[in-house]
Amino acid sequence: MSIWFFTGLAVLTAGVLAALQYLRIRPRRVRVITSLFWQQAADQARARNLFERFRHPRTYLLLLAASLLVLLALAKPVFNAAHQPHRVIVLEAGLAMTATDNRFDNALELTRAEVASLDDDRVAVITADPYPCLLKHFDESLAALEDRLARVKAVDTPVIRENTLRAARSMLAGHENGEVVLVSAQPVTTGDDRVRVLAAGEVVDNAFVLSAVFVPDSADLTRGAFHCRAGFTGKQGGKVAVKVSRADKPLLEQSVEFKPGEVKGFSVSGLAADGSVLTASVTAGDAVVGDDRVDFQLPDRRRIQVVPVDGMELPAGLTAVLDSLREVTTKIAEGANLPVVRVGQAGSGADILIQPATASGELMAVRPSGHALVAGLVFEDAVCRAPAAPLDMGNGNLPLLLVDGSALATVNSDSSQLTVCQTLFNEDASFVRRTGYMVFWSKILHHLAGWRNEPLTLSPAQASRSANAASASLTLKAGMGNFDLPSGTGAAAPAESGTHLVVWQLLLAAALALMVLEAILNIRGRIS
Amino acid sequence: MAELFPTEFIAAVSRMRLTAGAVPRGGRHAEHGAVQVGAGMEFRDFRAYMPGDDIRRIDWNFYRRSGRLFLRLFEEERDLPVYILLDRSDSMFFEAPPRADAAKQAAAVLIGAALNQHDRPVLYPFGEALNEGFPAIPHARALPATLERLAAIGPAGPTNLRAVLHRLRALRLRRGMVAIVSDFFDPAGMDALVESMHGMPHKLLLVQLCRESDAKPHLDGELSIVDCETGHDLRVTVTPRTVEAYQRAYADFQEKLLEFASKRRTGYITLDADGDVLEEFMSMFADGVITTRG
Repeated sequence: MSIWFFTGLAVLTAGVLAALQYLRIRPRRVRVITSLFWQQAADQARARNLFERFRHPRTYLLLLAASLLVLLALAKPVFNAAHQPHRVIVLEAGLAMTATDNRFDNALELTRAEVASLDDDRVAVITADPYPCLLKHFDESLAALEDRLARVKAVDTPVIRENTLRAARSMLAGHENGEVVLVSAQPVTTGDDRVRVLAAGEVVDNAFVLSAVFVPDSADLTRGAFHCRAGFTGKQGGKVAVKVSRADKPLLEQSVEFKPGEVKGFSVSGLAADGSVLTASVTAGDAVVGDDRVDFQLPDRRRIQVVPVDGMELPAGLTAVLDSLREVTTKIAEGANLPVVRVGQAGSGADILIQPATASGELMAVRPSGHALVAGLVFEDAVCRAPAAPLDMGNGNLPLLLVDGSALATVNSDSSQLTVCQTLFNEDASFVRRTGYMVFWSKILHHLAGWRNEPLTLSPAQASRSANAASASLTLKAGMGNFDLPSGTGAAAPAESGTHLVVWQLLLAAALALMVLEAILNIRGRIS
Repeated sequence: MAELFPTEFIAAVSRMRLTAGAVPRGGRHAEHGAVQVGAGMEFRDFRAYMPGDDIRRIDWNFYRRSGRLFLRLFEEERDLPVYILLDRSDSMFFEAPPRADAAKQAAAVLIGAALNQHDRPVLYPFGEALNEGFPAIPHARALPATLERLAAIGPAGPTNLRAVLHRLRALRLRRGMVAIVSDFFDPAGMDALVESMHGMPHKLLLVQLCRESDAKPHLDGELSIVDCETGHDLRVTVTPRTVEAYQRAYADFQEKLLEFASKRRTGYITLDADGDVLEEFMSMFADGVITTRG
């Protein structure tokens, strides 16, 4: 609790008490034949009654003093601690900590020393192994920390430093005098003045793979280029051998001179997105084992084969669209293991239903729904000449794309099965040549072919872990609830702090309720 | 006046008597046995003859037997000065009906009883100070006129009974009976009142006008209690405990008044201001005779 917050709260409390006092001192006026006996009675009662002793104006002053003491207690004041900062210690327990035998032990000692230099409620500890994990919050005592520190082990993956620092900064939200202490394996720069770096070890020559990314070709989504970034740290520069291979078959081999702290990019283009695994590795006078290699699985994006059911002839409008999509083929490829999208009429079990043509109609607008498959599609000035026949919307089918109220595509709310209803558009219609219409079919076909919507850019840690490792969250050690990683610096206080605030508010509310109750009872003369 | 003193009331008052144990010297013949002995009808004592004594009172029979001159003394029946101090402070007129009505009726009873036995009642209304007294015409038929004046008395500020009694002493009136008709709610308190009454050279009759609410106040909660006479504003939270303290204070007040009356052998009458004054008088005194002791 900052001094300004406390002051504001004290002023608010004084105001509330003043209001209560005003209510208390607004007595009913009664004329009596003599006040002789009431005077004596009041003197006697006042001497014995606690509440009568607390009468105005001393009542107000004493109640105010008592309330301020309560507030002060809630603020958890610490003697001589006004100058002490709130400190979040980030203990990195990633791959770099395994470089030498005692580097991680040094990091633990540095952490303990930082913790010991402040009071309990001024220190929080986060470890990154590689994901941010909370070891001690400000509200916790140091008792449990040592046990938790003993259980922290350096892992064989690099830490996600930025996420961890972001979590640490978010914990300092609301604390004016706060700092982050990063206990790292070696000296690093973070670009943040509020982050103080403590190096547990010396700078050693080390080359590492920073990131890997697959960028599909815009013309042919089944092919693309693989890009990776490699970095180097050390006291002096050095030569690094960079290698990208698939099934031990080298795709790229280069030997590059790096300066300390330098990062360079390397690319392999013309790769088929066939789901194979690429390995990017660097070789140098390495002191750290494990961050010099990354395995990257390419997305599996084989061409999509659109097959008419029962020899049905594809409508001209649909054929025009399919021909324009490079990742789609309507030719039956013998022996090729391609994903198949079936086109047919109602009752044929096809993914894409063909509706019979109807009479030409007037120009009509196209309205996409908010579904992810059609969200963002733009059909400026898009019209169609032939209105779609009304599709039976029963059985839980929900429209995705409406043409003048008729569904062009539906999704079943129960089975999530997608059905596209291809009306016989005139192939000369401007509608079928619209970009939005092309994108619509592209999305639909990708979905029906089972193309995974996986991230194309992976960090080494993500690649080493699992495909779902893209999201990072701040987790708590045993006995503590998780809370989401806030985004950016200065984010809202984490849930643990929020819980503390709720308790604090409940206490204050209870105190105020008691005061009001006391005032009411006193006014009614129920308190003796 | 007719409401306060109806015909039946006046008729009943006309039959009442006021007796005193002894009547001080002075005054005129009446129906009270006076301390002074002399030319009365009832033998009291002998006394040796002294020059200047009326020789008609010499007991010649005694002289024949003893050869010494003695006077035969008879008790004289003289009138009793009755000074009626009627409280006309604001408190007596505060409630509805005001207890001043009962006080006036009580004073009327005393006046009537005194007149019936040819005494000399003098009414002294008082508030903060003693007002000028007006004597009743010493004839029973003059009672209605006296009551008319009595009915016209209105409120006159706060009570200061101590100053009133001090003033009464300073008047050096002939010793008689002083009847104080009041609620006795003097801001100075009962201790100061008792001290003032102790020095009175007269016989005392205390007539206190009370109400049930005096002993059992029906107040509750956070109150600003204003004294109707002094305007003193007392802020107090009235709780059952406060009411208990009030009742103790009131009982203590009454106890002191009763103790004073008992020690000084003073007549003490408590009248319910909401009751029938005449009935209360009749029930308290046998045969309609009010007796003061001492």
